[in-house]
Amino acid sequence: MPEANGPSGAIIAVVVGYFLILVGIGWWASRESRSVKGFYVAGKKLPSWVIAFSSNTTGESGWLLLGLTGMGYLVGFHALWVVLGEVLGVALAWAVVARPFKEFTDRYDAITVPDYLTDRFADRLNIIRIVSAVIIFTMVGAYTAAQLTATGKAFSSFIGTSYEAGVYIGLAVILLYTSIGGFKAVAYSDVLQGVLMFLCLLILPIVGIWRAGGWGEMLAGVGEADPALLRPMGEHGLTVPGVMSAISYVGIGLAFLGAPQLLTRFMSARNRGQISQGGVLAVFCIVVFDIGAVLTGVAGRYLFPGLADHETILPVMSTELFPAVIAGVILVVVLAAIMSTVDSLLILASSSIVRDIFQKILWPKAPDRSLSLVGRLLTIVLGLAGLGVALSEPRMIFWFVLFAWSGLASAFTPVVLCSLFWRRTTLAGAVAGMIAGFAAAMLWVVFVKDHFYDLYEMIPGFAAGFAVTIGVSLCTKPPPDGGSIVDDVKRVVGGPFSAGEGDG
Amino acid sequence: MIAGLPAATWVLMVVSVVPGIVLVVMAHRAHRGDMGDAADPRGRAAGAAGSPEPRPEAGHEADGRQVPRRPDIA
Repeated sequence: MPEANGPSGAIIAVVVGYFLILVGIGWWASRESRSVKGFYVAGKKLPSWVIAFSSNTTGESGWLLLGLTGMGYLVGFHALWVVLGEVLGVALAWAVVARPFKEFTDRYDAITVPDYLTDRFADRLNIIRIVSAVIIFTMVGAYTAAQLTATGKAFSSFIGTSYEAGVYIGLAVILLYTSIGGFKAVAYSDVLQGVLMFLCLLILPIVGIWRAGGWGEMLAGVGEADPALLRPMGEHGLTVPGVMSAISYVGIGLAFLGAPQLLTRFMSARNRGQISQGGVLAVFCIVVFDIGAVLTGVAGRYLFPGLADHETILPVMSTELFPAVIAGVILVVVLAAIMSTVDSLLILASSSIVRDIFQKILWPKAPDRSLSLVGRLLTIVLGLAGLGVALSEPRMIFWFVLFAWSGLASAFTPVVLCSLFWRRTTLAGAVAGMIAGFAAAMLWVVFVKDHFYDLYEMIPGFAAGFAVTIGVSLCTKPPPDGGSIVDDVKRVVGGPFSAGEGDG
Repeated sequence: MIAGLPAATWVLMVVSVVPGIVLVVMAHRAHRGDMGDAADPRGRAAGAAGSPEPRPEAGHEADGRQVPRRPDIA
């Protein structure tokens, strides 16, 4: 741990500078946030590079820097299966999902995922909005609390503050710039945070491998400690537990295909051309993020064997291998990863209440400015609720992040994919699919996971979501228009690798 | 072993990264001229849900006049 007046002073200076920049971004973005559409999707005016960074940094929380580096430390190159899932998930999301989703949401003038699903299935009773709000609210609460826990731990391990002080400081800054600047502040701060994460995960493994004496030396040392760390199937080899473990790791990346906090990024794009450009940048970044995190963990295993908590390898490496100022920058990167996720989640949960419940059900004639104000206040209330949980339960760890990640993705991804590409999908199928996907993921964790090779809950969540959406849709009356809008959107946007009529 | 790692690990590393990059580059090449209708409010209004007007084809106004394409900023 750094000394009280020397190194930690430098770290604090770097952190304070970073916080001031974030608040500045919030103030700069505040003009755009005066309407509901401005507050929640930045008026649908974002350029490709902002969407790319915002999507990646929202998807990759503190879990990337503390969790995935820890996984590289613990299981070695077996963690590459996570890379496979995430790169494929991001690539498919941008190549296949983003363009039709953008076209659909523009046609409906939708600014939230429940907004889109309600219009897509002509849900006059607002069942989708209510079910979505319950799922989003509970999962975001858990997710936010776990991220705030990570903030407190990051502060205490880097600077030596108390856990509680770290949670308070982190949340205060997030609430300040998010409630002032809305989605635009969140998206542009994500760019800053994404660049910092990119540089950190590019430089850290290089320095780690160099300090280990080079690539060959590091691998020889790691292989000597445990040869399984170098093998793709890890300690289990090509056995049922080994395959289940690999499938679980790949499954983590599937959420990129339809988690609502990520789909909102596509919605906020200026036009479909921005999506075509953003995909390449997004995939390139995710490759560096993930490979960098795994290699950092492997190098850390050689340099600092025997850590009691493998998820502390990144703070240990940064304080032991770098001068205090650089360690401060790395703390900022950890905070950036956490904040870029928490701010997006708070905006998501706020939108599910203000847009989907207040504006569309309870208070349709409310002035835009009043709703925007309610959105700001709700963002603060949600943050404070997360604070309460984080302070009362400091043991919340990264499995909780993966749990909430899978809950959101299992509820929405199968239904969103069916709504985009399968014309026979019905309202009843969509509602049942959302509930089934969510319930399957939750029940799997509580009752089955421990007895079935620890298989990640998103796999059964997705299976149930797809099966029930398709099954119930086939058992109910087809959509009145025969789902012709699906064909029309496909005609306009084309396929993943072919231009449509709307392409220039 | 290749450069200190089992060949299977190298295979996994390549399979993890290359297909995703190929996929997204192919999609980008197919759609790089697509500026989307949001860039042209007239096109949006004509193609939007509930609009009586048919969606104009890219590069043409609704009345069939040829209009210049926006430059490809890719």
